[in-house]
Amino acid sequence: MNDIMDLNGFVIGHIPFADIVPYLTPFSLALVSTIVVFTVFLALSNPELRSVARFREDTVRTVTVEKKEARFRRFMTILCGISLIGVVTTGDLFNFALFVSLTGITNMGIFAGIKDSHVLDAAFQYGLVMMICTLPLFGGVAITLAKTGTLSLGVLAGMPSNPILNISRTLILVGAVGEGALAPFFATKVEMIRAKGAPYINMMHLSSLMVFTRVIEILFILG
Amino acid sequence: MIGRILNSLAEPEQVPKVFAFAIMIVLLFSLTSSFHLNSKQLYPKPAPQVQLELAKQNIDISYNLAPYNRGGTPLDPENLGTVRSQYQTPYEGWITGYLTPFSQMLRDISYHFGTTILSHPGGILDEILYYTRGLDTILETTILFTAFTIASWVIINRTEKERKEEKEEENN
Repeated sequence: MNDIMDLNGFVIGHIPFADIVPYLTPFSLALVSTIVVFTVFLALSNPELRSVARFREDTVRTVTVEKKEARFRRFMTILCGISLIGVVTTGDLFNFALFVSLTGITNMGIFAGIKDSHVLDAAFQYGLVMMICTLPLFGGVAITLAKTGTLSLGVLAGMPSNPILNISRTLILVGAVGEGALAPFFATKVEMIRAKGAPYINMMHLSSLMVFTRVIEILFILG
Repeated sequence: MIGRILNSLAEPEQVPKVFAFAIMIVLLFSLTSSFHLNSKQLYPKPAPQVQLELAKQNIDISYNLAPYNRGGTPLDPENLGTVRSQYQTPYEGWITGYLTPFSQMLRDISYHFGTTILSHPGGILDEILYYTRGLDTILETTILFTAFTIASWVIINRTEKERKEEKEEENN
């Protein structure tokens, strides 16, 4: 029931792709600029050099990421940035779900090349959560469509709330929490962040933050 | 007690189980509540049983597509197929009736192949998807190909590693 104008300020511009209408407001413009700056910064930076000192040895070793692996992870980071821009600007509920799952799978890609076994174990558990939570995410979108007959956020903003929309809001929240590795489920994330190759891993924090911000806005629009 | 629960949550192995349990509770409360669909979203067509009866009577060959018959002949503005979409285009219903020769053969054989014709490539075209929701198809294939990229990268590097190990064994 909340209007987009009340939540985000005036609409700066929109792209009319038939019934899929991405729009840009001052709020989402700030998010987009953050994502662009962060992604460019990560794409230009080199992987970290980590020094490992051992007890009872007189050596300090430097551990780094292989060049090929770093290139793959940089590619996944850039793809994650592009899909995050989609998440914060899209004006269509189904596209939002698709962009969120694309973000989740690129997050998996950032961690896929690491050879530490505990990181891979945690990444596997996170992948299981991601696969499970596509059901509530797309299910909530489908229930919204079946009830209201539209997926456009601009139209949904003008519709009064009802119990079935509240159910779909709950499902979308649960789905986005799983895909973005949000609040109670970040145990897997903490394990994964111990991996080497620091700058690319930070993309995962940014994606959690952006998915969280956007899903709150969508819950306000639906309710 | 709370500390024990939080400690068990901190292990990655527990996370999918807890998450699946939470989803189970949410679905139990949500999907058992009463739903009614928006009737404007349904295709204007006869009920599946009625379509099958019409197909048995052998009036029109297009009823053999039951229960997915949408009518219409391809590229004929005077005989459009039945399509209802949110976003109207002037070319709606022009190509819904198109079938490849193989699908036409399937249609001519029997009236039991409706679902088969719909679900194989070259069968009934989903015009609403291609006319008004094109970005969805692009995004879905993007997700698919990203998954393929990750999987192939993992597999290639794994085989390289195994080959290296085999070479080392040979050298030894």
